[in-house]
Amino acid sequence: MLILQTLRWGAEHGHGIGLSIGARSGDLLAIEAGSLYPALHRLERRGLINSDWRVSSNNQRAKYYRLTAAGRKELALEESKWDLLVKAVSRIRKPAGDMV
Amino acid sequence: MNWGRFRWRYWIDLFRGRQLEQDLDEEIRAHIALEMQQRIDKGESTDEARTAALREVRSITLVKEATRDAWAWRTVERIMQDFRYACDTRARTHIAGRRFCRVHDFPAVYEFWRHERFFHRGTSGIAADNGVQTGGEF
Repeated sequence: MLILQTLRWGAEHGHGIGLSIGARSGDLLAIEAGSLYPALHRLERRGLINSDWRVSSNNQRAKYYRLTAAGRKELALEESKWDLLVKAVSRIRKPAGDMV
Repeated sequence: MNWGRFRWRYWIDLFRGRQLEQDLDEEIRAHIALEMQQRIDKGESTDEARTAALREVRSITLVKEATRDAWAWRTVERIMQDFRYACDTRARTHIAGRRFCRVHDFPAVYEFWRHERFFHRGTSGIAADNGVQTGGEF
């Protein structure tokens, strides 16, 4: 979901995705290459993202990933599931009776 | 699992195996180069930046191996390996009364099944495993 969310704002290469997730989470989350690249390839295999080779701003050829229509749909679904999960956990942590 | 897509991806991956390998090599090289450049821009020396970038990636071989596992033909290849191993083990041990085709005899199939279950049923699959219901009114 984090990768799909990052790609919502436009095409990005693997390194950029890792940096973006780190920066947006206030450096709380760090995604290692060993987790990032397999995840990107799995998402691509599932048709949620696709890729093409481009030259980055510092003249380095890199593989850029972007969200597909199926990816946008999946992101919306994952977001709603996540919201439900957060709501459920919050209710368990602070039951209605405890809230004053 | 969309089996139509899987079969299609399997053939694409199989014929593009060498290209996929080259692309992955180049992708990891680009990652290291971009990490190095970012560190040099921050004021680190080239040697320091290279060492730190390689440390950040940790093991290039492991990254590649983990990424290859995401390719469709690798899944089929691993299932075939498991099948050969299961046949071999069965032939050697001759355990009486043991069913041959258990899902745990095929780790790749089991892992693939769990992975697909996770990705296609989302958190509900995990929650169900833990005995927690995520459905219902909220």
